[in-house]
Amino acid sequence: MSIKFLLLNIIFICLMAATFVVSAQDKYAIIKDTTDSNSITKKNIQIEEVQVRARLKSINLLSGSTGIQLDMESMQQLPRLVGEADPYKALQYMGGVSQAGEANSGLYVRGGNNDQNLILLNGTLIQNPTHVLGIFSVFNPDLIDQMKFVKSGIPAEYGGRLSSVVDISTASVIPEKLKIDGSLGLISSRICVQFPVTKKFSVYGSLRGSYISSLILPGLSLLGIDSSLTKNRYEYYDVNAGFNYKINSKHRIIGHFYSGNDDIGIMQVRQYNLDKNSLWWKNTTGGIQHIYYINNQLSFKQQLSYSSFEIESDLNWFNSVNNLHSGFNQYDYNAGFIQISGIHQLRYGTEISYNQSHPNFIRSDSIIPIEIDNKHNNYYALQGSAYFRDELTIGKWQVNAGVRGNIYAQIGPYTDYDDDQTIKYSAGSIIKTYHSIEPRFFARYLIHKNTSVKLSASRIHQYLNQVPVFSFGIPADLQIPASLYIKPQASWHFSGGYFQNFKENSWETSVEAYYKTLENQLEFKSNVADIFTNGDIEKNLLTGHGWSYGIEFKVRKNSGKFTGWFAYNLAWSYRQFDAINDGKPFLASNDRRHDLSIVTMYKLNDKWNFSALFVYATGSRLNLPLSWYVINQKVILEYGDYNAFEMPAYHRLDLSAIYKMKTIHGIRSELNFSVYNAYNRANPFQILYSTKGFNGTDNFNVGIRMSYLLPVIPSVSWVFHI
Amino acid sequence: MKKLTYIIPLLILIFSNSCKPDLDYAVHGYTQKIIVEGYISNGEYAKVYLSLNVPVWQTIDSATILDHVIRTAKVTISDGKNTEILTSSWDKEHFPPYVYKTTLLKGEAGKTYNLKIEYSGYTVYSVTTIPQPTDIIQFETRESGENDSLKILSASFIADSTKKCGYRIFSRKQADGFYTETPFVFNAAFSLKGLQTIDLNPFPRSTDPSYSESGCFHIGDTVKIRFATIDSISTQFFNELSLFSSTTGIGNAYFTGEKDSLSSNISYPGFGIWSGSGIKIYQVVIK
Repeated sequence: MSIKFLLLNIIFICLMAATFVVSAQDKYAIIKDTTDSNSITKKNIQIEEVQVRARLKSINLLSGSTGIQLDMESMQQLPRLVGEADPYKALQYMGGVSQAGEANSGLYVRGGNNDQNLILLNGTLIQNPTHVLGIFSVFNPDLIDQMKFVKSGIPAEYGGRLSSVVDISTASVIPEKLKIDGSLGLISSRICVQFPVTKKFSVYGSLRGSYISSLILPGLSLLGIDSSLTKNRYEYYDVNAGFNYKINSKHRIIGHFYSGNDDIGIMQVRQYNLDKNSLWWKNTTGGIQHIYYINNQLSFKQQLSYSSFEIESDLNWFNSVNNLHSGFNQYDYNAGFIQISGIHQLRYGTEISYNQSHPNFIRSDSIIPIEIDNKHNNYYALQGSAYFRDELTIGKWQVNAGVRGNIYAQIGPYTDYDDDQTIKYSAGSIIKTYHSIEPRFFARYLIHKNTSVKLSASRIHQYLNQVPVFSFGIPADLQIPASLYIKPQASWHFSGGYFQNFKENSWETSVEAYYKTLENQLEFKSNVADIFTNGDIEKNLLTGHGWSYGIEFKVRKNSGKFTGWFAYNLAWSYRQFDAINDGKPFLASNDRRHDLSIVTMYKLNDKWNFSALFVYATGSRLNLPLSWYVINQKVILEYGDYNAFEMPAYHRLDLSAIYKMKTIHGIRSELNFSVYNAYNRANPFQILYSTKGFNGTDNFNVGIRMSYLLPVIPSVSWVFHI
Repeated sequence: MKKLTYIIPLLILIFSNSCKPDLDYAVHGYTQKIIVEGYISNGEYAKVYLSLNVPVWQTIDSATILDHVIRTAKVTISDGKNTEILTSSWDKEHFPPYVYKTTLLKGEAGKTYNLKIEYSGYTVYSVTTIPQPTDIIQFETRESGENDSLKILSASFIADSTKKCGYRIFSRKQADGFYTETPFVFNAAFSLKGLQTIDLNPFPRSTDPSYSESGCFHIGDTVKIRFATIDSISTQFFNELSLFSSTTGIGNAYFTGEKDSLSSNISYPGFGIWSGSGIKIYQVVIK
């Protein structure tokens, strides 16, 4: 058997294992079993190669929704961005997701906002999935077993976010022996240990951290890189820990804990106001799952989880340091069944969660009497959901129809700072309830063995919002839930696609079109000053609606020495607020008219693999002033149409090479050489305006400046597996 | 080795010359406007400052702003009975340093004043009323907590909840050349009722002798206080201005997605404020 054939089949195995495609289910009834997806994956890896290859033919044609399902092995083929094959980050390059911009790995899916993605790690909510302003995601690649990304036809078991689902699961199989994976690099290092305590019980732990400001940036400074790019501070660390316990053939228990922390300081902001501008955020999640295989036709899974997110910004404003803190906690229980009944695959279950949010806690060391009104509220809510869906396959048709019902209640304590009277609600009292019914529908028709069409329609509601303080640059978002004054977001999403493969599935092509509505979108009323002075955050928000539409093209080559893909999105995203832009529609900040990703991989031989990634996106929309004037001895900006400015285009080239080293004493290892932003494109990070000579002198000097963040970042890392 | 001698300088060249894009300001609808800053107070002559707004893509410094000062406008003020064309002169106490002033007509509380500006073929109008002034009924000092010789000065007044008025307070220390405003408009939401006590907290200029005292007052100092009552439109304008300029005025600031420009009571193509204020002036010695 040739090496090429072997490698191809390994890739096919991995793709198959991560995708539950129907075509092979004729041969392997176990796919239709009701066991959990993780165990299916591992069982399928045992399948012989020829049978696996048969499954690959229909992955993109037959899948039951539009999106991507990957396992870590296939992600290893991606360019190593700063030394890591980061599957979450890679989503931005796979079509249908807009490039967020510099230092922002937010997902802007089909015109939606960054907060409209349901991101789950082992079923537990992750509020902010990024490290170091988006260079890394919070997901440790050594632990990821599989990732599912759904952008349309979102099944009924998922709810609470309008635009997409990213469902990531970590290793759930008990290893046969001690397993150590890790990486030593110039930018960051990581280590992951998985250990079988008994044949039925294993534990794992991992640690990851960066030292960018200590090593690589000083080195780049010596090479002549602009000091404004190299004197920033951005570091992170995270830890994962968990266990797998297979009680018997019927019961399994899986536990997982994650905590990560980021600390960011931007020198370009600091230079006028010393070193007081900084940002940190922290995710902490934990959960425990119980899986019960009742029989081959029925399984049950329940999970108890906790998720918290905090973000804190120190902003030097008004000659004083103002600290803005926002946070969110969620306690969640969900339980669901998977049942096979003839040609039906049923999923039904329920979810209950209790949420606490504190959107904007402000602390100031100002000597000036800033009029903070102290009308802050913490927000408490209970949410219950129930879902049912049926996946039905008849001949060339596959239909996936379901419904999800939600009830959301804001509960006390709460103070309503009404203009005429202040109303206090006691703890536990119900302040406001919202109900929603969400139909979900997806259909696929196989026109020919190489051709299929897919259609979907879905309705989704979202009860927790993250509203950005800044439209561009530093990602400081406030956590604001639905409440007495804030209605939940809602969306209708219609999508259709045509998929065709060529040359025995070596080439995949697709074109998809979509239309999406967005209701009850939020924007802050005015500027940052109001956020610092107006604690009654609900009254400081504007509500509007939006819509987006677009078309997505993708061509992918799966086999041969050269592999890769080309993805292009042509999209429009609008918003309309009565109180903005005189009520006229305007382009959303995340509008990207053109968005292009090209990924190529070249396998030179058994030792060397090369890859390259090029991304291009139309610049984001921004509200900038048209003119300046002086009044009351102050320089004032005059604004024109909202979001009329388009930022310079974002583009970047990343290169990487992998050299597989000899296995020594059972240690497999490889060297990763990578260059992030290879041609040192200074992509805009944020726009600032600076004034000097303020305060009575007549030497005004005002300028708009664009700041840049990430220069070319070369990286070498040694990845090992013991 | 020879290759390295070429490669290393080439890398340094690439690294040190990153491709930096710039913003395209060309086509976003800039229109020139007459920027108006006019005041009329009871017992005082009216003052009007005029300039043009400057396109954002032009370098802004003192010289550019001076180039945009309007010095050839015809400015007329009328109270319905009396009309006066204002005369112009340099005013070094203000920036931009060119003022149009009345020489006969002084403001009276309760009266309405029409403003008409003719410049370069355009005419803009505005109207304002001087509210009745509000008395400060008491001044008090207390320890600053930082320095035994410095005090915090507060003033008390009765807010009239039946009228939509805001309040601005200015103070001038003995050694300083100018009045400095405590940088807030009080009663901006028109919600204050009855007795109110506010701390004076001027924000001295770096060139003022009292700069190091910050918002406090030195024991023994004689301080002049100017308490202005302004109408609702002026309240809205100066409140927005105080919040707006607090982000633009000091050092760097982020563009935060401003939704609106400032309010204005000047007709198109003018922009700015024509503000009547009912003033009371006091003098206190800090003890």
